[in-house]
Amino acid sequence: MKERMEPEMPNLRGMLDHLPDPFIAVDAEWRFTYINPAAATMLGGGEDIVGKPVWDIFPGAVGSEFGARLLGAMESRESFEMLLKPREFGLDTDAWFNLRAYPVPGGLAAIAWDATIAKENEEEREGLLEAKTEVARVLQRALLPPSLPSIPGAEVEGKYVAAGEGVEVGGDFYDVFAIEDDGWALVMGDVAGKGPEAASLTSLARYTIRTAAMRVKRPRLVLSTLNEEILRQTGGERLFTAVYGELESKIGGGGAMVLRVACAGHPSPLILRNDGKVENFPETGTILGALEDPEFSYREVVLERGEFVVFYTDGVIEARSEDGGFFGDERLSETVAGCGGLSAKDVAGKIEAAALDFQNGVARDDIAILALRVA
Amino acid sequence: MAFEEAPFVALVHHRDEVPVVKVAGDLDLMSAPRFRDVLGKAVRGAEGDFPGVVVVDLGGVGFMDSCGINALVGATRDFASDGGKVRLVVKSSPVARTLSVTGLDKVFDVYPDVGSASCRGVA
Repeated sequence: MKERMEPEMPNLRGMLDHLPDPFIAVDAEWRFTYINPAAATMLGGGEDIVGKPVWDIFPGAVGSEFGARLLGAMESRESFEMLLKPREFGLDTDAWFNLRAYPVPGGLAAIAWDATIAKENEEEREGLLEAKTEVARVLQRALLPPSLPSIPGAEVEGKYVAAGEGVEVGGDFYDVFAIEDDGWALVMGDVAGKGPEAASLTSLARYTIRTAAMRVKRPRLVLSTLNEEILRQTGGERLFTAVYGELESKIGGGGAMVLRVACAGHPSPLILRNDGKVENFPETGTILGALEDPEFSYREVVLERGEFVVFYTDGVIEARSEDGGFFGDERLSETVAGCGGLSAKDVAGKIEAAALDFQNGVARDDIAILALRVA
Repeated sequence: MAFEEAPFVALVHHRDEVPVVKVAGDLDLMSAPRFRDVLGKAVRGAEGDFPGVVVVDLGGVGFMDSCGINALVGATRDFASDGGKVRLVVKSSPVARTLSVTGLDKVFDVYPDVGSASCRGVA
């Protein structure tokens, strides 16, 4: 077998000489033992490079990560691959090269190939992603109040965490505003889906609620108005959950406040009482945008001083751990139960941290939290 | 995500001539468009019958988010407003919870199994 192959053995040296990709070999003392014409052209030398030490010809590599990896490969006898910009090592080209170095008997060999187009594509992709993330960030900021108003006799804090890397604008939002002289409105909403289309509905919802709140002053009617508007604008193509609350001081209540809450298919707000009990709303009403005559749940609660209410989106309870388990209602209730005595800011922060920790710090879905505490 | 999500499956079969859309896996942002597509075709196929009935078997769905809800309602809206009946088969508690929080358990008829859901006539 071997004898029959021998006459056909190709001229390997000749093949390497004709490779369009730069190829070199060095011995254990880092002297060039072979350099093909493509490599010679790139390094700006010729055949006379053979025999000279790499570090003389290629001083830019000394002390660089590339140099360190070469030394490591010689020592460990393990190959490596890396992306290089030869200009950084003093060579006169703007190209990017992928270089693969591998141990060969008596030294190392390395081959490089042009990776400029792949690198440019990657940079373009990164640029687009960055631009998209920036657009999402700006849009998102427009959907949330820049700062929350200060409510006499109460503290309020909002939190928002974008899903993943924040590339897409999410559909969660919250709002807090004064209803003329009649108290304060607290809103939390969640449009199904993500992206600009969801964001535009979020914006529509936010301003529809603000307008309706001034006009009708009854929580369920505010949500009905919103439902009609969503159906009119989207033709029923987007569903939307929301919880809307109106807060005012309880007359003669010694600092206590009254909260009237209407809910449209949104996870129930949670209330922490001073005795440590967590209450939720058994009924959560019908999601917006699905029906022409939805039924919203309604409840009026009195919050004594020190008690608080938390609004949140499903990104909290639908947070998933590595093994696929959900954060869930119970864990949220337990977290809220452990918030007695904390400020609104700390309550919102604690829930946010619990939901994020549960999913290793990266939100699978948007998270919005609004905490209000009667001071 | 480290956990393996169950592969999403949505296909249509018939039981006693009633179309049944069988869904398995997680019904979320990623899978909702496919679900909507398959459900939409099943609903259009049932429009000729009167009273049209479509069963959506969510028995194999472990999780359904607002995008899944959006697809379910969007694909069946016209059919339901023309008098068609959309019956859901629900087994898992996360799906039942999502339907309950959003109030859709009062909009759709919910059944415990495909057998009872695919009975013709008023259930």
